[in-house]
Amino acid sequence: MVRAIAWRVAGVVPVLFLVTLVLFLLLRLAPGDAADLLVPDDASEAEILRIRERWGLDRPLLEQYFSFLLNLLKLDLGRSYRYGADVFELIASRVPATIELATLALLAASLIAIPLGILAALRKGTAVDGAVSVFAIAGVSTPTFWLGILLVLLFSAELHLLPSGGRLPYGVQLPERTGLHLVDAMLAGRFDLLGLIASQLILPVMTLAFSMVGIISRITRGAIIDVAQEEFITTSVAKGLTRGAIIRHHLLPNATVPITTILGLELGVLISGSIIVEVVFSWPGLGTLLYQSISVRDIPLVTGIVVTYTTLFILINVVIDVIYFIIDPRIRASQGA
Amino acid sequence: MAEPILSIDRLSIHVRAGGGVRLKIVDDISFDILPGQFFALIGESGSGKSMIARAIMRLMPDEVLDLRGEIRFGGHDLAHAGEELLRPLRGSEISMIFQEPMSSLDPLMTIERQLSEAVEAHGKRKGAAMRAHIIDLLTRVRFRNPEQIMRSYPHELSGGMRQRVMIASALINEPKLLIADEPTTALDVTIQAQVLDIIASLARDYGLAVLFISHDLSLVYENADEIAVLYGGMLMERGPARAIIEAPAHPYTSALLACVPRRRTGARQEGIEGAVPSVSDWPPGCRFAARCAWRQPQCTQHEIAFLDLPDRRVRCVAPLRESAPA
Repeated sequence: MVRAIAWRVAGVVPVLFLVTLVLFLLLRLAPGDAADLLVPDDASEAEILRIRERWGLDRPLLEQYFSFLLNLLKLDLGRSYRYGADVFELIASRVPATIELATLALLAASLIAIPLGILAALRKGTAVDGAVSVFAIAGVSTPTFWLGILLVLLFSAELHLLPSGGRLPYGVQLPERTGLHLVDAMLAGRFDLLGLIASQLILPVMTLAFSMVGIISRITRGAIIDVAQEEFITTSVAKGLTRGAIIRHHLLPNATVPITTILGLELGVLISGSIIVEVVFSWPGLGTLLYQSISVRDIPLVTGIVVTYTTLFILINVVIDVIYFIIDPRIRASQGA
Repeated sequence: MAEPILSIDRLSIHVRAGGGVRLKIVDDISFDILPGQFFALIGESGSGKSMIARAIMRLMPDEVLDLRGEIRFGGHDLAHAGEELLRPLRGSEISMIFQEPMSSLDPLMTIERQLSEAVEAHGKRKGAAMRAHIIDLLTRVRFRNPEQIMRSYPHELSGGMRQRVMIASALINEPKLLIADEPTTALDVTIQAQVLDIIASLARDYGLAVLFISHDLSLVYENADEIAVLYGGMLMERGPARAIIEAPAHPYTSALLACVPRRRTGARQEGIEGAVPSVSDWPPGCRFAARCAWRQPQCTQHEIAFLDLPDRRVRCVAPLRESAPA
């Protein structure tokens, strides 16, 4: 198992190589000159040349790429054009906000969608099944930015129940250790802050979760229905097991593999898919940072963020593979546990 | 004569087919199984034999619309019993093994858990006694290393081994009736004989009645006490196994016997001319008439009733034992 995981992690290297190559070429082949953005409008030619030289933009593209790769090995992603700060540190300061949002959204979506999917499968063809279907389609087809704005209008502007954005209200201080606010508040013993932090999280989490409920509940429903048709379910009825025991011991465990797959994929999609939601809710995560860095052509920062997204995506897949190992003895056997 | 353990009385099964059509796939079947009897139900695919097997335990697919007639077992009519009556009987009084050993065990569970849950469902044994009982049964289905088998997952066992586990699981609560629905069809020929032998000898040891379902008469040559031959959802011939195999009275039974490969003589195997007509367009009269070598004009004119011969019943206007060329 350790060997199999090591292989998966090693798979990051070629993927990152390809991703950075494509990204590097695209960003530099795009029309416009990054140096234009680094100088005032009235800068002289000499000044532009000096800036180019300072940021290494005058060197051949291939040379720039190789020095980027060499630096990447040292976790040095360069300096942001806009902030002047170290890209790695900028990203590191934003990653926890995105992870907090994405995992809570996935958790909320799973808690809603999996029971709904199970219910729909067990009541296949009834009004309950139909209602879950309609809810699922509504979730999939509602654009997140629209839902986000709608929720802000309703709960913040109209009802004044929840804040419209940000991670913490102005003036609230929280000692950061993990960067995950709920965790930090508990570590610091500031349980009084949990409610405040949660109220900031509710709207963005719900907006993201709603978009996933549809897919997760449909996959869960399909997985349960597929397993229900397996011969070993007939065997377990023939053994005289109760309906509850069959569902708990045979139906649900066998449906976990497809459900885990979709949860992993959705988490990957979430980490990058939260960009719009982060912008709508002024959530200071990677998504907002990417949005800002693209709009000012901050090439080192854009590159760094995309590399981070790719790495996170691959790591999530490794975790999913580990979960397969735990659930399914056949996968354990085929991977030489 | 002993009281039958299972008595099927005028059983008919209707299913829903595409386009809202109702099909009668099992038509007015009656037979009794006595305690300890090895009863073979023989028919080609599509004859309705598996549907009868599943109807007894009420494990029918969703397409089944209704059951008519009675399935009497232990003073109850299983055809019309509710879940609260059926569940305690399943796996305890009546057990079943299936055609596909590869898919009839849960792939995520060890053999030990699958066997012990069968015991626990009926609360007959617990803890160490249960474990000892499981080891004993695995030994009886001829595993030399029962403890290792208990720790295994289904994918680690071959088809024949899984079917032996299924047999152990079916017999674990000492039922009175075992339904074996083509239990050897999916196995290699060499394994078939072993599995069949295990079922037959355990049935003798436990005094267990067996309803053995097969398309292959050669499989039941040695073990069956009683044979019923099914064609197109109707019983064609029923009687003592020896009498039927030695002198089939129904042309269909005779044709089935002709299909049995004669390994020793190496004689060429004959098939039965033609195919089973589809359930929706049965001809009037005898359903086998279209494929029958001895067809007579009256075969297709009206429903053919059972004819009672001294040792059996046969649904034929001209049974071979009286009229067939020798």
